[in-house]
Amino acid sequence: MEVKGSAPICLPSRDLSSEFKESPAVVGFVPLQDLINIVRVNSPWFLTFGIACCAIEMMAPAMARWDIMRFGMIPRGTPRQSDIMIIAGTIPHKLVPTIKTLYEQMPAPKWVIAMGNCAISGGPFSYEGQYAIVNGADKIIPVDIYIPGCPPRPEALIQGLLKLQTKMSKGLIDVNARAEKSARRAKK
Amino acid sequence: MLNKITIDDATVNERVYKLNLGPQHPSTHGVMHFILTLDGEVVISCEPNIGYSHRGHEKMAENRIYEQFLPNPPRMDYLSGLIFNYGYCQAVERLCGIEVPRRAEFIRVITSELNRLASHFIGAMDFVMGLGAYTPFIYGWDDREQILDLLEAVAGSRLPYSYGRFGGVRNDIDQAFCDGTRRFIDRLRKRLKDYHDLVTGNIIFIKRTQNVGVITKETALEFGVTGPTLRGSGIKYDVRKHEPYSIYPEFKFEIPTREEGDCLSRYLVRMAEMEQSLNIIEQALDRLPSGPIRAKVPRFVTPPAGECYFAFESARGAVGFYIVSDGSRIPYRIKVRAPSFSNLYVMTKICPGHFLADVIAIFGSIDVTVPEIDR
Amino acid sequence: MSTPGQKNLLEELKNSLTQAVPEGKIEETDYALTGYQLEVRLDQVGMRSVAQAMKDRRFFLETITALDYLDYFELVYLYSTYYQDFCRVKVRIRISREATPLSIAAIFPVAIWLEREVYDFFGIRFQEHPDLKRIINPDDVDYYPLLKTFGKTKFTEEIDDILC
Repeated sequence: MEVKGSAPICLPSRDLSSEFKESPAVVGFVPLQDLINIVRVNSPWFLTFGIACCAIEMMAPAMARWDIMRFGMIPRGTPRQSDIMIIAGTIPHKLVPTIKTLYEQMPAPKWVIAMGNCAISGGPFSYEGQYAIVNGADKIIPVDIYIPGCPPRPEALIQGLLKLQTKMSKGLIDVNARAEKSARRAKK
Repeated sequence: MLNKITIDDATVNERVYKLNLGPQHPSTHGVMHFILTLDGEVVISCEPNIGYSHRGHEKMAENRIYEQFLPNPPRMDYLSGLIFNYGYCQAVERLCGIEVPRRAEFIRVITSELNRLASHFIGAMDFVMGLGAYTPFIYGWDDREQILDLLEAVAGSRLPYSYGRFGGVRNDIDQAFCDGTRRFIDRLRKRLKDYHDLVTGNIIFIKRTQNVGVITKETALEFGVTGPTLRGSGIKYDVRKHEPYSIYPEFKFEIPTREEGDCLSRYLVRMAEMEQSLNIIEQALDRLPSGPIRAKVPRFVTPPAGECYFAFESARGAVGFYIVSDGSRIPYRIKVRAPSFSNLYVMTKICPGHFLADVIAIFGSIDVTVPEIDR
Repeated sequence: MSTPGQKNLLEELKNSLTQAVPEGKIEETDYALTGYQLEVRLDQVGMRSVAQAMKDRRFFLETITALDYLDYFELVYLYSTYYQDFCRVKVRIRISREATPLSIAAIFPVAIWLEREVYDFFGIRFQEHPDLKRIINPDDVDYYPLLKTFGKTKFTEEIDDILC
């Protein structure tokens, strides 16, 4: 059974494809996961893990001007209740055990967004003699979406979150593509 | 009554436990870690554990020429990014003896005060959100977005600005900026009344912040507290009046202080400072001269060998840039005196005896920015 | 541009500092160039007497830092005042690389954290400090970052490549 899009994080640990071929009762398992993913896409609660300057630009979309709560994205204070972890800011060495603990405390399925240049690759603070920071969040935990910028505009964070929705639903819900198509139509 | 509670020694040994507040916590703005020793709900000792935002600014300064270090100061205290940017430029200008043209000084003052307003919106309203009130925070952000629109048209960025340069500023301001600022000032003067109606008279807010976290004048002197945290305790110290820099002597403004020294007075000082900032901006806009916006400086500035300390007032307190130069294009040492470092340490003295919920109130009222502590 | 009040204050300060540390060199500096009015140079000791004299005159400790000059360290203390006319005093104390200077934490409690920061970044140990351990870097690192012999600084590498 082929799955569209990139491999999701929530696959079962063993390869069940042989069982699908032999037992018709299990053949409806993966489409049900797809359906549940569409439901998950509409309420991705994110953990606000703002470390430095990008934390302010992570709070900004949740405020009155951009209001991502209308998409269902509610900031949560605890990892146990969130689907997405947004790492916003530079990661110093002292913070690495904290990030790993928070990531492990999040229940699966979980996704990670690296927001800002510092979380992607060290940003403006990475140079050859740097002793204090880790050059990017993906050296510690697996990252799904990268949002560049120093700091990224709130619109960029919203685009990143909507792209994550595409990834969560494996391409079935693609708000960005629809927006681009309507923009092209409007330009014509 | 939320007054100090004393504990006798017999109970301390049996009921004491340690609690970690942070590093990830929705009410500690940024990564702040407190190790609290509690007896039930009463705090016996509060020890902040810092270092979770350390990026090595001071070591970076020894690897960069002066111009390349320009993006770094705004990222230390990102809420007063423009004030730090100008402060670093003014420190290097003092060391080199560069004189800044008048129009550039006026532009610097206007944008600094706008930045101070934007920072106080977060500082005062985040404190209120930590106590549980979510609506004033959203009101504050709405006004902050208007300021950021004005500054973005001129400086090009919303949060960490690199607008100031050695000898002046990068772009000129235009008539649209001046008109927009005047409209914003009129609007904000009416809106400040809304904030006071919503928050200041609220009985729950008063009960949670009155007589909580009192900083006495002796404590403030021993700990080197500065900024609105100090002015809430009755000491009238503001670097803009005490050690004037730039063209602040030409403006008429007051330094609001309150006598009690508790969380409520620190909050009221911040709200009163917002009105004073509006006065300064209005006076500056009325007297804005024309002229060049940047002095002629060489492409790579080479200060003479020597040292220089430049102090200025950010939204959090008195900042100082201590630059040691050995005559080359790369600084020998840049040390930044961060007000949040000293202000935070006061918490070890004033938290014991309060409830756990008061720790959040006290931390919010001191209004620190964590990357500034760790640099 | 100093007011008569400031001149008086400077005179009184010079007198009390000369009494507190007779072996130190006290000189006035140009505020417009350097940012401080008085500079006190000391050798190895004297920080406690100066700190006590400053506290008696109701100054507050602005910051403590250190400079690494390869053969020796220099500890820099900056004091400023809230109350009277503005004045800033800088105290420089030259210490050798293995020296353990006295701590002023008993006089100014904020020095507990400031001296921990100097220890964390330079490795200078302070005597009689209540709690000398690392503050900003993680607890288990074995380097002192701001030394000129650590990492990449002008003295250890040619950095012409950063000049475009």
